[in-house]
Parts: sequence; C-alpha cells; structure tokens
Amino acid sequence: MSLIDGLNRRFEAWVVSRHRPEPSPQRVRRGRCYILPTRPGYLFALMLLAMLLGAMNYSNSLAFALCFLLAGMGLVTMHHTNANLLGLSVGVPPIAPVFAGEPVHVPIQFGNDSDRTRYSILTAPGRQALRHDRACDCAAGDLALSGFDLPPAGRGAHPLPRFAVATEFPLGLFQAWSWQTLACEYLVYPRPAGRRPLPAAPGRHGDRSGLQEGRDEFSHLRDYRPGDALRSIHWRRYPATGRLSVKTFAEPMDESLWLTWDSLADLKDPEQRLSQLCRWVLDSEAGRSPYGLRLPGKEISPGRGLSHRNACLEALARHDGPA
Amino acid sequence: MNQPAPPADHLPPQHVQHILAMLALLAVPHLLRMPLWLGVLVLSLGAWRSLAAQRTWAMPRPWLRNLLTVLCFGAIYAHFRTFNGHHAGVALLLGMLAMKLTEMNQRRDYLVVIYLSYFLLVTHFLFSQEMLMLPLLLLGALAVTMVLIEVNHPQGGLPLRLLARLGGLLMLQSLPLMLVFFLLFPRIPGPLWGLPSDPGDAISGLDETMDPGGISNLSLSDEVAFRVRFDGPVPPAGQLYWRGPVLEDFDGRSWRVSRNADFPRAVTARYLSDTLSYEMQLEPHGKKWLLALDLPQAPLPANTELGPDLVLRHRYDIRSKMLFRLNAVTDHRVEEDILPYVIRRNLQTPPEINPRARALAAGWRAQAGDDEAVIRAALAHFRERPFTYTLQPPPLFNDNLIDEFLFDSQRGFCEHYASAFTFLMRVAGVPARVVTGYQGAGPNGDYYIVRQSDAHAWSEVWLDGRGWVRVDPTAAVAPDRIEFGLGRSLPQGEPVPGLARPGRDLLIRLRLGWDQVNEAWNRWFLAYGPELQRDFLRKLGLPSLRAMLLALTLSTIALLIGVGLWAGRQYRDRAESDAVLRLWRRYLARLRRAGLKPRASEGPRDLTERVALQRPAWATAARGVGELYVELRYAGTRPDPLRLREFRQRVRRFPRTP
Repeated sequence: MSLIDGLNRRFEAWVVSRHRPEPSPQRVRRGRCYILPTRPGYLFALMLLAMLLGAMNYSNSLAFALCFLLAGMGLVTMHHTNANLLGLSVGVPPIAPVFAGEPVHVPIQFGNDSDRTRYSILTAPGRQALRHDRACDCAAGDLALSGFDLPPAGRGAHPLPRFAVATEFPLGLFQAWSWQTLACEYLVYPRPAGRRPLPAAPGRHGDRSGLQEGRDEFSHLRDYRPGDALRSIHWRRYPATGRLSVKTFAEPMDESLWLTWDSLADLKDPEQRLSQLCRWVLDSEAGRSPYGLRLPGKEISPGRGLSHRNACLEALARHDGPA
Repeated sequence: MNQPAPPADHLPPQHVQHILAMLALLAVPHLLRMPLWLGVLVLSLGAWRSLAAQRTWAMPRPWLRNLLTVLCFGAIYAHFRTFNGHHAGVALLLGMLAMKLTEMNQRRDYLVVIYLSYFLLVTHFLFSQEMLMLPLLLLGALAVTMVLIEVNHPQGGLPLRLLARLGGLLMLQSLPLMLVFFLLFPRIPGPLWGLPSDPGDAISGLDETMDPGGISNLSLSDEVAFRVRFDGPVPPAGQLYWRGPVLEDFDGRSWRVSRNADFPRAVTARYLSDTLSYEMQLEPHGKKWLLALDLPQAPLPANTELGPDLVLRHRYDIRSKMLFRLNAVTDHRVEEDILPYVIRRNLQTPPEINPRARALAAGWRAQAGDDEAVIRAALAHFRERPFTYTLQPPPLFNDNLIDEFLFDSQRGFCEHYASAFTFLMRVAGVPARVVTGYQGAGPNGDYYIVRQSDAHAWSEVWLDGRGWVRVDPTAAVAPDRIEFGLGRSLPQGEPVPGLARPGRDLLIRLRLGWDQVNEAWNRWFLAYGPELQRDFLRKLGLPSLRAMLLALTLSTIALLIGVGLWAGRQYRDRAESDAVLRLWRRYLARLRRAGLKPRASEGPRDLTERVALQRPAWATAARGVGELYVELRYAGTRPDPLRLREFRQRVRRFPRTP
C-alpha cells in the first residue's frame, strides 16, 4: 500500500499546485473533481479477481455472470460517485474567532441546485482526515451545514487553508474529491494571559480637575427642553426671567480605561503584551467602565458591549506593528 | 465493575439488523448442506450480534475471539479432513463470516463482511446452476448492494425502498456491461488448477456395480440423464445405445467394473456406416463417463479419452452440467488383438453355482458349430420360453440366482436378462461382458431427452474376426422396449414413471415445455465457453482475439460514457434543465461581452432599462427579451411553448429584433 500512498501524495502535490484562492462560494467543477479507488475499492477488485479465477476454474457460467455484474457495478458506481459531487456549491459562513490554543471550527455550507439529493458528503482539511461518521446529506434544492475543526493556531488572521470536499457514496469503492481554496480568513485572538492589574481609570487618581463631586457640581444654566427632569429646573429663577431654566451639572471626569500597548513597555515579548491586553479587554468587559484600546498605529475609542469587545480583540489579533 | 466504554459502532442498530438479515438470506441455503453444529454456531453468533446491536454490548475481547476462531476452524478441519473442495470451502467461508460478526463494529469490518457476502453468494452456484438460481443471483446481489450503500451512509435515515431503488439502478446500469463482458471477455478452456474431488450430493445415475434390481430402481425416475441434439437425421431407436460402464467381474450376484485396469491402447475401428454428429448436454452424475453413443469417433472433446473398454471418459468427475460435441458411428468393427488375460477375465464365473444354467449352456455348445450358433440358441431360448419383461420381478434370494430366474420365476428387467445371458455365454465358452448405459431417446421440440428411466443393460460377446459384438437379450424378450421405450413395453398396471408413459396430457406437456426452456438455458448460457465464444464471434465477424479485445474495450467505454452522461444529467443544475433560465443566461452572457455587466442587485426590469439607456439602439430588442422573460419566468405555470419559441428567437437574434 505504500506505493499507492506515494502515488497519492504526488498526485495531490500536482493538484494543489493548480489552485488559487477563489471567492466563496464555489461550485465543484468538473476540471477540479478528482476520483481514485479507495482501499476497500482495491479489496473489492481483488475479490472480483478471485471470483473470476474460480469461475474460470469451474467453468461456471453463473459465477462469471455475478463476477461481471459486480465488475460492471464497480465501473458504473465511479460515475455515480463523481456526479454526486459535481456542481455542489461549497461556501464558508463566517468562522467564529477563537483564542490562541483553541481548535477552530470551520463551518462549511453546501448548496445543491440539482434535482437529486447528494448523499454522504464529507469535508476535512485533508483527505486523510475525512471522517465517515461526519457525513452529511444535501437535499435537492437545499442547503446543508457541515464543517471541520482545524488544529489550534497561533494568534493572527489566517487565510483558510485549502480543504477537501469528498464523497464515496454509493458503494465506497471510489472517492471523488475536490480541493477548495476559498478566499476566507479566520481570526485567532491572543491567548488571554498575564496577571497585571487593570490600569486604573485616570479620573480616579491625581490628574483631576476641581470638579471632584461629580454630578453635584453646578456648571451653568440653560433653557428648559422637554424631557428634562423636574428636579433640575431652577424654580427660583423662574419669577425673575419668566422662562424655565435648567441647572446643568459638570459631567463627571472621564472614567474610561485606556488599555495601552505602551503601558506594558517592560514586557519584551510582543505576544506576551498582546496576551496581557487580551486579558485586560476581557476583564474590562466584565467590569463596568468603558474601555479603549491604544496600539501602535491603531486606536479604538472607549466603549462597551460585545461588538466593541470583538473589535478590540480583532485589533489585537491583527496587530503586526513594531514591537 | 470498571469496564471500559464499548467502542462506538459505525452503524446504528437498525443497519446492523439489515446486514444480519442479508447474511441470513445468503447463509441459510448453505446451512442445509453443512454439519448441524456449524449451522447452530452461525445462527447463534448471528443472533448474539443482533442482540448486541440492540443492547449496545461490547464486542468480545481479542483472546476470546481468537480462541473461538481457532476452535471453529479446527472443528471444520476435523469434520471434513481438508479445507479443499466445495463443502469444506463453504464451511470455512461461513465460519469466517460468523467469526467476523464478533468484531464487526468499524466501517472496515462491515466492508469486509459485505465483500465476503458477495463471495458467499457466488459459492451457491458451485452446487447448482439451474435457471432458478438466476433470481437468487439478482436478489442476493441487490440485498448485498443495499447494505453496502447503507454502510456508506452511516448517518442513517435511508428508507429500504430508496436503498432498493439506488441499488437496483446501479445493477440495471451494469447489466449491459455484464452482457458485454460475458460475451466478449476471453474465456480459456479447462480448469486452471485441479478440481478438488468432493463427496458431493447424492446424484442418481449408473453405478460401477449392477445388482439385480439396481437398474429397475433407476428406471422409476423421470430425471433427465442427458439431452441430445442431432445435426443430421436421427438414427432409428434400435441403434441408440448410449454406452456407460462396462462390467466384467461377476461374483454370482453383482457385476462390477473390473478392478484390473487395462493398459491404455489405441483403438482402431472400421466404420461401416456414416458418421453421426450430435451435441450432448450431460447432467452431472458424479462419475467420469460421458455416455457417448456407441461408438464414439474422433475428434473427441477436450479432456476426454476413449478407454480400452470403448467407454469415453472425462478427466474429471462430472459435477456440473456439461456440453459436448460428439461424433459416432453406430455400425462398426473394432479391430484389435484381444489379450489372453482379457479373454480369461471374460470367461470367469464363480465355480459351481447355477448348475442348471451350466447344463443348458453345455447343451447348446454341444449342438452348435460355432460361437454365433450358441448366441442364436440362447436368444431363441429367451424368445420362445415364457419370459416376462417387468419392472417388478419377484425377489430372488437363492445362491443360484440365475438358475432361479431362468427356470423358476422367468420374470425380470433388463439387468436380469443381460446378467443371465452373459453368464450363459461365459459357461458356454464365449467371452462375454455386461454393458450398462441408456437406450433410446424421447423427442422434445428439436432435441431428445434421455431420462433415468431409459437406463439399460445389455451384453457384449467376443467373436473372433468380428471383435466385441453387442447382443441385447432384452430385445429378444420385449422388442417394444428397444423400439418404443419403456412405457409401451411393460405389462398394463405396472408403475411407470409419468413421462415414460405413452400419451400426452397437459401436465406432461407443461413439464416438457419447461424442459425446453431449461435446455435453452443450458445450451446458451451454462455451456457458453471457449468453443461457443469462438462460434459466436465468428458469426459476429470478430475472428481474432485482438478484434474481440478491441470490441470489448470499445463497447465498455461506450457504455460507460452513456452512464456518465446520464449521471451528469441527473445531477445537473436546475437552471440548466430549465429552458427559460438557460436562454436568459445566454442573453446575460451576450450583454457581458458587450460590456454591460449585469449587477447582482439588478432585476430583469432594471437591467432592461439600463441597457436601453446605455445602448439606445438595443432598447427595443432588450425590452422584448426582458418582458418575455418576466412573463415566462414568473407566470407560475409551465411556459407556453409558443411564447417560449418566441423568447428563444428573440434571444438568438439579439440585439436585432425578430
């Protein structure tokens, strides 16, 4: 079998050299669909050979008939397997980002525009990794969701590597497969790590204006606008001016956190810095204050919420500035 | 207590039950031929696997499995004393399959079991190749294929009807390929390795021993011994002696084939009549002789040889139906110098038994001038005395069987007459022997059937200058037996096999009609081998091996291309099977070439307006196409053929207007 393995490897190398990334989704084209017998397929052929020798030895016509029927089926099934894959559309929905060290699940969406169900479609990053128990069917005119896991990768925005879409249906004697190189990427956030405490909000320490009492500190008056709280109306001034005035108070001092690359200058390893920033982003999201992120060449103004968190993490993942 | 979790099964329990059901279908007919313990073992392992699937039991540990396997194979060897031959081979295959059930839970194991099942299916044809096996072939192959499809769809959910449709479709598409392979795949003659000799099933037919009553028992059977198709005119029934084993040793009761083998000698014969050519479909009888018409003439079929006793024998026991082309000359003289020991053997009788017969023969010898006169006297004796030809002779228990038959009962079947006559000749000093075989043939359509009820025994005497001469004492007693067959020659009221009886009622006609179907099956399908293939290809105009291989390759490729096109059509995009969409795409491609790239967000109306704006000259044509497209595509009914034709014309002529 090692000869077959060797041939397979060389064939795959040739196939891969033909591929350039294409936008998702793509159809499995005839020129990009390959087919080879599987190991059980070779075993089947061996069994047919034994059957043929037996039929010859005994001059047994019914044995010849069965042997030839099965040989015919072996050849016909090649077309069925091939057609089961041809024209299938393969797309990649957004891949959920992960933290470094976690496996990436790549969802794959199949679309079937033909009038026949496509059975037992497999997908995996490589042909060896195809798992028969993960097979999925794609009904006529319908979509189906499958997928595979990629091994944990380092931080960064990675292009989706080429992956195989394959099928061995109906008899498992042949494997038809197609390599898909789709122009998609997935994000791997830095692994959250580091024990540094969160940087304190600047408003809490020395660098403050005189407005220490926050919202109790009167600032100025302005005209009433519908919706202002009754409590804030300056009633005493009403008889004097005949207009409703509203007391406004000083905004409290900016309490947002700034998570900055520069604050971690003592950490020499940039990945370690990013890990610490990642930890801080997650901790800040769990806290109450808005937080902003400042990286060399990139700044995200303070905010809160999932999309803000993800934007921060994405910035960390994509960071490739000077260390 | 702390058992490891059972490995996950590749298939859900229901699929496992399907595999077991398929195996039962293929194994049970074999189990009837196998020792009882093997049947019990196979069935109980099957039942265990079925329960294990339902209750998700773990497969047994490897040591237990290996022990069981060794025990099973040991028991098979102990029973058959060999692993060679049909029975032992099938037993081994069944044992392997049963053992495989105990470790069947991964995809690989399931596939091995399924491929072995295809092999199990083919072993059925070693035991029978009747036409009724054809449904088993098709049904069995379908069942195995269905479970193979199911194993390749482990997520389940395919109803049996769908599986049958998928499997049936695959089989249907491979039938033309099967036919091409069957006709054109080069056949080579003869066995590749020695055929194992097998005890085989009990087969009726002639034996190497003839006891009183042996042939009359055989004669009660309607079974076909062989079928014959003559090329030219059919010889009269009186000449149709089909030669079987020659019996030379007599112990006072039974005649046997001589234990002393003769040296093979070339037979030279003078042929006195024309050569008859015929084709023989021989049913398996488990022995080597061919039952050729007396006397076979060269060229002899492959793997056969004519022995010194003038019996045509095959190299191997005949265990399957065989087709032979034979030549014969019914009137002949064998010119050979008989060896003294052969004369001595053919004069030998057990001493002192049958004194009255000895006295009778001595009387003929004293009166007669030569051997031929003795023979005439003996035949006259049978003709003139009140002998009766009957299938129900009284049982004879005496030590002097022949005396008792000749002088007391005087009732007997052909073996009694042949035996008594040969004994009389020997004691009269004429070398003589018993020949068994078949006599006569019953017409059916354009061929003849020889049944077990046509089994017969006659004598041969050695006459100096004439060689071995056939003498049939039964013909002297019951000439009708030779001319018209058994049914007309027996007294009224005797049990006669149905088909030997004169008259043709409906049942008999049906049975004969069925025989014609079987005959065609044997002749065209079972017998299709190197010779028939050569004839067939000559008729087809493909005389050489190269032409045949070329035809095989080309027709295979053509059929596969056909299947490929079919499969491509089945799975093609809906848009491609929709004429309106196809034409619309063509129109879009035309616009693209003209630099008007359709945008994804653009509906057909917007597109039309944009074309009209950017290419005012095309406005009319574009509106014509666009409006018609919207009408055909979104009307919700099947497109009106006239409007569709108009649409096609507009797209074709675009940007001109039709």
